Amino acid sequence: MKTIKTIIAATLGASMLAAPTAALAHATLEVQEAAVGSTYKAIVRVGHGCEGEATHTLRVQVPEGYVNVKPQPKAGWKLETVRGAYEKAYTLYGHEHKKGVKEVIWSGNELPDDHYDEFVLRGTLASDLQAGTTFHIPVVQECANGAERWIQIPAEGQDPHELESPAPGVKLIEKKKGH
Amino acid sequence: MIFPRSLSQWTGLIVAALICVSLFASDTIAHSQLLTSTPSASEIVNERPGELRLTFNEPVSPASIKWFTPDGSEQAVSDARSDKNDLVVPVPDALERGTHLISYRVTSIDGHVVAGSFAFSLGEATTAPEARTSPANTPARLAAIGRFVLTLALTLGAGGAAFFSLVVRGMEMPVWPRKLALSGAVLAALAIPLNIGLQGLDLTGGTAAGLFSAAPYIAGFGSPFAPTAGLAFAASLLAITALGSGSSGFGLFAGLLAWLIAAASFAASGHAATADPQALMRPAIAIHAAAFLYWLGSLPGLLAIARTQPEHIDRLLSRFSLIAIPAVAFLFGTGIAISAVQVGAPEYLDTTDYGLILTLKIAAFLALVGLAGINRLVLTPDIARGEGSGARRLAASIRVELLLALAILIAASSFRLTPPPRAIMAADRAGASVHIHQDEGFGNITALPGRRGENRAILDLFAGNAEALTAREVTVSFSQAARGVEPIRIAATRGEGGLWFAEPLPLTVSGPWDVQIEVLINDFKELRLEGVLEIRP
Repeated sequence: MKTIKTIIAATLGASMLAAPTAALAHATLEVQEAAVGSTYKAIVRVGHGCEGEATHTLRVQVPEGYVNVKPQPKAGWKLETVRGAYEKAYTLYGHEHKKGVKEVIWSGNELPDDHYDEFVLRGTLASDLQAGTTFHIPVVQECANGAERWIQIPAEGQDPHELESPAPGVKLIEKKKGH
Repeated sequence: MIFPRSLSQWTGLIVAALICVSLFASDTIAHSQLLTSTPSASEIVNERPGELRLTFNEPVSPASIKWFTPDGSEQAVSDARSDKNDLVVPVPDALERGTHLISYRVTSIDGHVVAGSFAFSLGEATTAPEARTSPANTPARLAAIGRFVLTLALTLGAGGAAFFSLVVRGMEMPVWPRKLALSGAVLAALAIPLNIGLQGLDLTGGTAAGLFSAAPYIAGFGSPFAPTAGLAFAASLLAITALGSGSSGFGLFAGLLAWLIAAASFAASGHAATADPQALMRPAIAIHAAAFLYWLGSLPGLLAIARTQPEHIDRLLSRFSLIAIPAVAFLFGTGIAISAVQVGAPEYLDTTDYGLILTLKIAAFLALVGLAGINRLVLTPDIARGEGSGARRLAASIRVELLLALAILIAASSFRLTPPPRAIMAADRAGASVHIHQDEGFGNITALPGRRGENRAILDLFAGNAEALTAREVTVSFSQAARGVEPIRIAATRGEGGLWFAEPLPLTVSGPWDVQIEVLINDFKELRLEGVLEIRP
């Protein structure tokens, strides 16, 4: 009982403290760490419009190595995908994947600057990705009079905090043993 | 469960807080943005605004404000305050005309710092070249003084020789003008080696004590001044010969030759003689020099006659005017041509040192022409009619002419201390540029004029394989960390020939600026180029 209370307290505290943080953040991924070769649910958090304007379109680029991606439909939003060939073939559970979703576009709705929302896609992080590096998923918010592009990828050794509009990233870790 | 009651609950809260802090640190950088400002960026206002208002997309509080005046110096401002989403910056009471650059650092409600710079102008943007004190050092000043002495001596010597050959031609007159001309020619011959040394000293940058060593003379002999020195030396020897040999045919011829060779010496070097177009500039300077040598070199002789033999002045002035009148026309014509090339545009006359010197010189010249006209048209006829005061007034007038002549020669010798606007413009046309190379692409960025003030950036961008880069958007940021100038960000626009242009850039502080170019290649790909551009003072 104590443990449950602790967890509730922790969650409550975390969410209360995290809420204003998220609202001010760049577009980011909720899950900041994932193992190579695992299924990764990318939850893109959008806390801002473009310089005060509402977001009407969100585009997510699926970089090479994020395989067999499926976006989660979102009520009120039109969902489109751009499919294309991968640079190489990936084998997942005995199936060979040579092409797939390269870009996901949610459009036809309005996410006001004051509101927060999440956009979700799921796929597999290829097992030949390098653990210890950060995997970047570029995101573009489009608004009536401009766009907010979360596409900057830090150079080797560069602090991502120095960037104006860093691409959301997930830290890759070693494949889980015995799986 | 509203308030934690047990230790474990407290532990949970602390853990949660720590998670938050770590999340906070990892993925949140403030995203406060400057939305608008009053006055707006790069706006030209006609009256001093009461305050500056910078509107952000969320509440901010001021951390640091730096105000740079149009001359590039920092001005203290009283404390800025925040008003909801606005940052309100008080405006200094005495606001100079020109472009003011304001660099700000603000803190958003979550404690993150946002920084940037923006500029506005009072009355006009700071673009015109400013009257600057020449960076002349001691050797340059010594060289200018040496050149003045040589020019004065040549004017007396070679110009005097021309006067005796072309005007006097054996006419009886006092001895002192011929002696003065001879002294001038001797002084010129003696001043030439010293001038070579001074030119060399200016090139090698030593102290005056260096004149006692061989180095500056060797450097001077190797410099473009050498032909001028050679011709001037030949002219002074010829003048000495001519003035020493009286009114023989040989003497007259030597005097004529001394005059022409001395004129040629002025066209052999100097920043006017070496300016383009050469086919215009060198003959123009030679003619200009011939005209002023003759005119100014005749003044002592004319003065002597006016004082002692006023009955001969009419005849002498008639002979003098045969050449003097066309000479004045040539002086005027070539003077305009040379000035047009050297100055380039009329606005430089009152905005550069060179222009100021030229303006003074032209004023002295016009006064000289006016006096010459009075001498010829009023005073000479008075003398002819036998009015007693005519000769005295003529002598007084010629003395003033001599003073004006001296002023003109000083002005002409000062030109070498200041870069002609032509040179400033050439530097402006070249601008300041930097080549930035990275694996994925490279580019040249040029700031024009590359001098303190409002600039325009031109960007030439290429992909890594040297092919033209098709960019969708280009943004440039200029910052100067050392002086605390936060980034000035400007979106570039695509122009002709695939070039991108960013303007106006208020680079009102000189020195090295950090340049960052963000090139959006497609929706998801961006190329960043970073380099340093040096902005001239």
